[in-house]
Amino acid sequence: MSWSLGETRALAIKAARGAGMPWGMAEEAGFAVRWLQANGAPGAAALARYLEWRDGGCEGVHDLCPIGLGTALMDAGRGVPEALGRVRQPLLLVPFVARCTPSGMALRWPGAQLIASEAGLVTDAPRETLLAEEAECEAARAVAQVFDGTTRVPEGEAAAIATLDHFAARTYAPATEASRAGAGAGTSDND
Amino acid sequence: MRHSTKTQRDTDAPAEKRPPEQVMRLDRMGSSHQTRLSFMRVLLRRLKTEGWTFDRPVWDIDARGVGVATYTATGPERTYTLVAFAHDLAPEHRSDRVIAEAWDATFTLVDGEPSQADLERLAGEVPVQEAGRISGTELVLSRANRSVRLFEHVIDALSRGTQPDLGQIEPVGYLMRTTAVYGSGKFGAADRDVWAGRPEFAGSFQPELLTVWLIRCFTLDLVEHLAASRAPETAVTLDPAIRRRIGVGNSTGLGMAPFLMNHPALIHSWIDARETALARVRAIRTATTATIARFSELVARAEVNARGWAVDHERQAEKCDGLRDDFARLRAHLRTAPLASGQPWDALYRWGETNLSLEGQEQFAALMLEPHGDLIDDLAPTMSADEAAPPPIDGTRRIAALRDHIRAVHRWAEGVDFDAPEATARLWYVSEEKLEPRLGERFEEPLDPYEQPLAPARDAMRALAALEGWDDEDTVAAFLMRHPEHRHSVRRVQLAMRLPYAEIRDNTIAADMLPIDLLRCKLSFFGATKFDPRSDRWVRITMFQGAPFPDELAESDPDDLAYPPLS
Repeated sequence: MSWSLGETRALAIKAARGAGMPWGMAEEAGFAVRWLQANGAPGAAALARYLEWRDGGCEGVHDLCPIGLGTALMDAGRGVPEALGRVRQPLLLVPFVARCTPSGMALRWPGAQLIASEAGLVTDAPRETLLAEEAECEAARAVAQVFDGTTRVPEGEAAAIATLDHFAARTYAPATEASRAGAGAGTSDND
Repeated sequence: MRHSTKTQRDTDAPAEKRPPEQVMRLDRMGSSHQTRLSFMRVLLRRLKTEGWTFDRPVWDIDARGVGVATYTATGPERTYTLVAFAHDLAPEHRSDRVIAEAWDATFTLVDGEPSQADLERLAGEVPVQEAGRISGTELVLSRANRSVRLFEHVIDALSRGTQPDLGQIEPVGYLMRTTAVYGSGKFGAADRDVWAGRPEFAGSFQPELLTVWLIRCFTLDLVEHLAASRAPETAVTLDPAIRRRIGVGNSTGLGMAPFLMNHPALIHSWIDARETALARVRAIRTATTATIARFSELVARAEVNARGWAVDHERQAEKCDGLRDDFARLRAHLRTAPLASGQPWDALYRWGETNLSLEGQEQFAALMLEPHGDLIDDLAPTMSADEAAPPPIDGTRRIAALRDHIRAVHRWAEGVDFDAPEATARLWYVSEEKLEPRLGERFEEPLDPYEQPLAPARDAMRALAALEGWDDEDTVAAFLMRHPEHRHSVRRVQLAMRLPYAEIRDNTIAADMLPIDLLRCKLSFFGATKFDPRSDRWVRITMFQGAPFPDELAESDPDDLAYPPLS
C-alpha cells in the first residue's frame, strides 16, 4: 500500500482547508506536502501535526504558520533572511525556501540542517528532528545538492494520511436525499 | 507560433485568435465539437504512425460472461496491458452514478505486462473500484455498464447467425458505456509525472483514451463470445463494417464539471491549440482544390451525423434542429460564394458568425480544420500542462496593476450584480458520499461552509472590493498578507493574464448555469460525439464510433472515420 503524490497533494489541500485555512493557502500546503514527499521527507506527517496543533485555535493564518511565512517570503520576492524566527513544524517551510532560492539555501534548526534547492532536498537529520514541533530557524547560503526523489508516499505514512483524511472530511457536506436526487440523470440506466 | 509548410508561406499575416471573451462563454463552450486535435484522434494517429501491435494474451471468460481478459498494446519502447474483469451484474445494481458499487465490467491499464501475481492482486481491487487500491504500476482505473437493449440485440442476432440491425446500433453507438475513467494518481495509480515524459503520452489523457479504445475491443469480443456460447452451431461474428459503427459510451455527471475550473493552465493549453489552429486556417490566402473537395465531403458526412443526432433533452434538441438548419444555410451559401481566394476560410468563418447558431459556428470551425492536418497537427503535443505545483503569484506587482488585471479578466462581469440572488443561486460542494462533486441551491440548503472555490468571477469581485482603500503603490504581497482569503483569486487572475483561455468568462454559479456546457467542452476535446444530455447536469456520449479496431489500424486512416460514411 502506497499513495501517489498527486492524491496526497489533493488530500493535503482538503485537509488544510478543512482545518480552517483559506483555499489559496491550502493550495500552498498541498504544494509543500507534495514537494517534501517527492524528496523523501515526511511532509504529510508534518502537515498532519501542524493541523492538529492549530485545530480550533485560530481562523485564517497563525503567526507561527510555516505556510504563512513561506508564502510571505515567496510573495515578497526578496530572498530568504538569515533569521526566520520561531516556526511551527519548520519542515513545511523548506519547500518555500527552495522556491525562493532555486540555487540552494541551508535551513537550520536545533539538531537539523537541510539543503534545499530546485534540485531537491538533502539532509541526514532523523525523522523526529525533521518533525520538530516548533523551532527557531536560520537560513544560510549553500550549494544545491541533487536528490533523486521518489514518486510514492510509503506505507509508513498511513497514520499521517489518516489524520489528513480526518481534516479533509470537514470539507464534505453530509449527503441528503435532496442532494443525491439532484446529482444523477434521474432516469434508469437499464436501457 | 511559426510554421514552415508551404501552405503557411502562402498566407497573409496570421489571423488573430478569437478572444477569450468570445470563446470562454458557457453557451459557446457548450457547443464545442470534436476536432482533429481531439485526444482520441491524436492517439490513433500516433499508434498508426508508430506501428503499434496488439494482442489478447488472456481470455478466460465463461459462458455467462464472467472472468478476466487482457489486451496488450506494444509500441516502439513499451507495452501496456488492459486488464478487464467481466461480471454478472443484476439489473437492480446497474447504475451509472458514481455512488454505484458494482458494474458489468471493471478495468485497469497496467504499465507493462502483469504477472499472474499482479492479476490476482488486481482481481481483489479493480472490481470494487474506488473502494480498492491500485499501485504505481497501474495507470488507469475504469468501469463500464452495458447498454442493455443493444447488448442483448447484438448477441441475439449473432447467435441466430444474422447481423444486428444498424438502425438500432446507430442511435446508441455502443455496447457498454464507461461511468468513470480515473488516471493521474487517483486511487493509488501512477502519478502523471511518472509517464508524462513518454512520447506516446504527449498531449492529454492518452493513457485514459488508450484504455477506452481497448475497452471497445473487449466489449465486441464479449458479445461475440456470448453469442457463440449461446448457440455454438449457428453463431456468427460481426460484419466489420457494422462492428466499426460500435464505439464506447460514456456516462458522466457533475463529477467532471469542476475539472475545467480546477485545471486552468491545462484548459488554456487545449483551447489555445484549437484557436491557434483555427487562426492558421483562417489566414490561408487561397484554398486548394483538394482541401475544398475534402471540406465539402466532410460537410456532407457531418450532416449525416447531425441528422442522426437524436436527443430527448429539450435545449439540446433545439440546438440540433438549429444545426440541421445551419447545414442547409451553409450549402446555399457555398453555392453563391464558393471557397476560392481572398482568405476563403476566414470569410466563411465570418459569414457563419452572423448567419449560424453557435452549434453551427463551432461545427464548421471544426470542419475547417479537417483538411489542414499538415498545418495544424503539430499543435497536438502542446495540449498539456505541468500542474504539479500551483501557478506562482507575483507578489511584487502593485495594487493598481492587480485592480487592472481583475477588471480585464472579468470585464464581461461588469453588468453582473453578485449581490442579486440569481447571480449566486448555485454553489459547488463535495458530498461525503463517495466524495462526489455536486451543485446545490445556496439559498435553500445550508451548504455555504462547504463551498468549493469554483466561482472565479464572484470571488474576483470580492477581491476587488477588498482592495478598496489600498494605495495604488502597495504590493500584492502586502495585500495577501492581510487578506489570505483572496490568495486563490489573485493567483487565478494573474494566471489568466498570462494564459487568457485559463479562465471561464461566465458565471459558474448563476441560477441558469447549465453544467452540461462544461461537460460538453471537456468531452469534445476528448473526441466525443453524439452528445446526449439526460438532464441539465448529466450526459451520455459516444467515443471511437467509426474508428478502426487494432487489427484494422495499419490499413485505415483513423482521421477519415471521424464522421459517418455517406451511404
